[in-house]
Amino acid sequence: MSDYEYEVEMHHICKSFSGVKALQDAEFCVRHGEIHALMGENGAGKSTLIRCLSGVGPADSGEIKLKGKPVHIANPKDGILNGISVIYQEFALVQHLTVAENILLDDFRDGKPIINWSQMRAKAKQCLEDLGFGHINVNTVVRDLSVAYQQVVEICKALIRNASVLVLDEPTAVMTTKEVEQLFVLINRLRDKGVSIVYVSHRLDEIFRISDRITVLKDGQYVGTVNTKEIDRNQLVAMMIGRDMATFFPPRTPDIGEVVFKAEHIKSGMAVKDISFEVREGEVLGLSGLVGAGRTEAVRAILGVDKLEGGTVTLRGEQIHLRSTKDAYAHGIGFLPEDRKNQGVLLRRPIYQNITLSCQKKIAPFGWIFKSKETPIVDKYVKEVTIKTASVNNDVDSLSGGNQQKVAIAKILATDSKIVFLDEPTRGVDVGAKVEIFKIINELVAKRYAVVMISSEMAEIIGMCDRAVVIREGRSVGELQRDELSEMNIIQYAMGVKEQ
Amino acid sequence: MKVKEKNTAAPESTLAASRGTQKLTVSGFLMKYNCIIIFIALFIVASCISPMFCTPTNIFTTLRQQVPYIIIGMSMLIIIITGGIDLGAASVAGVSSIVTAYAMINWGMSGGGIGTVGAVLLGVLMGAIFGAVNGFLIARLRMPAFIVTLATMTAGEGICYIITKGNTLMLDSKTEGYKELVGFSVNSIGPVPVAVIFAAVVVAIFFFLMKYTTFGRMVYAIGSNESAVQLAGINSKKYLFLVYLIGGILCGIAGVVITSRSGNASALTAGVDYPMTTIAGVVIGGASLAGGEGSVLLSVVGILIMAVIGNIMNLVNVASYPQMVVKAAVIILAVLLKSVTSKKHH
Repeated sequence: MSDYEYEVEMHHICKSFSGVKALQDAEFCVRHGEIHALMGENGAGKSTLIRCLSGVGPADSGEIKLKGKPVHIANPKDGILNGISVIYQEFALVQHLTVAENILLDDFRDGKPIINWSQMRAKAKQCLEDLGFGHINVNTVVRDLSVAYQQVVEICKALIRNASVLVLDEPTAVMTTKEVEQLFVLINRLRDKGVSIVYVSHRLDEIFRISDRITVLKDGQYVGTVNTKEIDRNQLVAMMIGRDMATFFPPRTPDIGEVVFKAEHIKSGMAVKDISFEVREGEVLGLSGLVGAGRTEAVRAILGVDKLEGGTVTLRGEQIHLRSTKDAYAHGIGFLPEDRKNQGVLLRRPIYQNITLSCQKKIAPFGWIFKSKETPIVDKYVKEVTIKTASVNNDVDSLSGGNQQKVAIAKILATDSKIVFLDEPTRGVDVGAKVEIFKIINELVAKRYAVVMISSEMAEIIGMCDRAVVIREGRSVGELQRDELSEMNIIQYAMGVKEQ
Repeated sequence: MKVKEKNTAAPESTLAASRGTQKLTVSGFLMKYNCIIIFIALFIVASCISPMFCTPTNIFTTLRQQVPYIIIGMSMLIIIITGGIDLGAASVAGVSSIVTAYAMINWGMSGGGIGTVGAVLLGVLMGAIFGAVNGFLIARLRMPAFIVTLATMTAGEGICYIITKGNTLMLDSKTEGYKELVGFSVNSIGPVPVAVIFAAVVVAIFFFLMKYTTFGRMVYAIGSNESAVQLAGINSKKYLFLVYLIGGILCGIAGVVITSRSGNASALTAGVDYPMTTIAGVVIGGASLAGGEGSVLLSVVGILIMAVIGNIMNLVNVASYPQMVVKAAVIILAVLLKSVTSKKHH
């Protein structure tokens, strides 16, 4: 065949983001014409590795060889010129252009001053036919295609660029079963044509069905590469877990009371199919699962941010229907959104105004803000959540990520809401601030709050929660008590090895 | 801590700071209050160019002319802080001006007292209706403010011509209503025209409204990030609707003032440069068209800067068409300055 063993070789890849090591000495080798699955937990470094390969986020150090020759990939253009194409979950297609235009987007003029439409369409059609999808009309506008066909168009676009390595990042995340079948047919065809395929996915079923080999990453480090035929599910899962448990979770003596909040058979949109959980007074309930499993979407539907299409919500024994977060706050339910900068805080407003944003009734009984009422509240919560700032009059964007998050939490506490939903409360904050946020959560449950915490970090769920509900593909698939909380248990539910 | 960065954002909120120390560097001061410095400089230049400029008569005449601009300016300010825009301000003021005059002439509301008050309220009501329609379309149906107010601009101008049939509605100068209404613009308390005092009161109300009330807080908050405000449990649509409603009422009040100034009303009001000049003034006063920033007092200064530029050109006999070009250039400069300084910050 050829004088090189691997189409792609990545050795000793290191990459850090502001001091945090995302990849450490990672290895990844893909053979010519194979389907190679890349696996790992949330945050294991899969995406970072792909970004190093494609040039979107070049590695800090390490060696990349293509077809046995060392190459330097510093930006996305280098990646494309070297035949590497990455297809992300959010397709890079222009939704309102036709299939033909999208496939030939890079050079639809073919170097000529004006577009030769018939030639362009013929080229696109040829490409689709080669893949066995000749029935897709090249004049269809892309947004009218199904997700799977959009993926086909995306792949055609990559092949027109002479891609020899095709990376698919969670390609089936939003596909129906039928669409997945179509995709698999295509992927197999591509392999037979000699294209190397890197398949990033959480779905074990798919990995075992389609891949030839599997590489596992954990905490940014290389665990190993195995032949798919020689491994079973449990062995694979065991490779993915088992990291050192950080010991920074502050201790807490649980004192758990009655059920105060209950969500049953929640249904909303594509992402949330049937999710149920309940939380008790003085308890931290974890909502665990893989990224994209539908945890955030479920909470948003419960709190009335998105449309609740089915299921019931019960607050202290009384069935309620929340139409908005305003409604939720009126019922004493607070919500810390996932995206701090865009949803959690007002970056360009002063700290004190952020803290009292949701409790205007307390500080401004007739719409007129009394400093004498506002100042004590601001002082109290700045102290309670220990916001480190020179002045509360400074804008929130002058604070570190951890302190910004504390402002967002203070805002919820100032409303006296006793049931609190925290969506990824420690995302993007440093370790020190994480511990402080955990301490705040501990203080809350000590004051008989009920806390529901969504977290993608398993260590966090295990370290902080009294109980956890695992969600997979829009369904709550398992409930784990405190003594059952382990990475093995969580991941088995999260990836569909076990189900209750 | 970059103090400079803090200072350009919403001057009022930082002025409101009663606690904590916030150091004010010289460059920070210049950036925050550059429009005051520009105003003073312009004032000095104007006094040098024309001896007529710095006389009480000229100053109060100019201020009197600026009353509708300042009132519409407050409307424009709160709308711009939310991240919106109102292109229809002149048309709405025109409709209200015309309806007030029409009611006095044709519906016997010119007898003074209650009748004239009724005519005035009718004019203001017109503004409120336009504001409510804008608010409904923008806050509820989530349509872009630019398109909605572009439409109300055209509709308002059309209504002006429908009512007036292209004529000027002249109030009968012998009636009590005329005396009362025009008196508002002509009379003075000491050297200060009543209308100017009225405008000052409106400005004061908005100063306190934006600084000390939940409404003001929410206007700034919505402009900085509406989705965060909604997720914080606040009915942002209600506040956004109120902003446009209040904006419409202000344009309505401005319309009545316009009628009272000359004792007549015509559809030409709809074509006056109110939106252009007030947008410029508000932006010169530090507001960002992206929303979240803007100051009541500095907006007034911004509007007065536009007025002084116009006044100087009048005093040195620049014809009105070249004046338009100069004003346009000033607006471009103001926005350019704003985008250059905010780029430094981000």
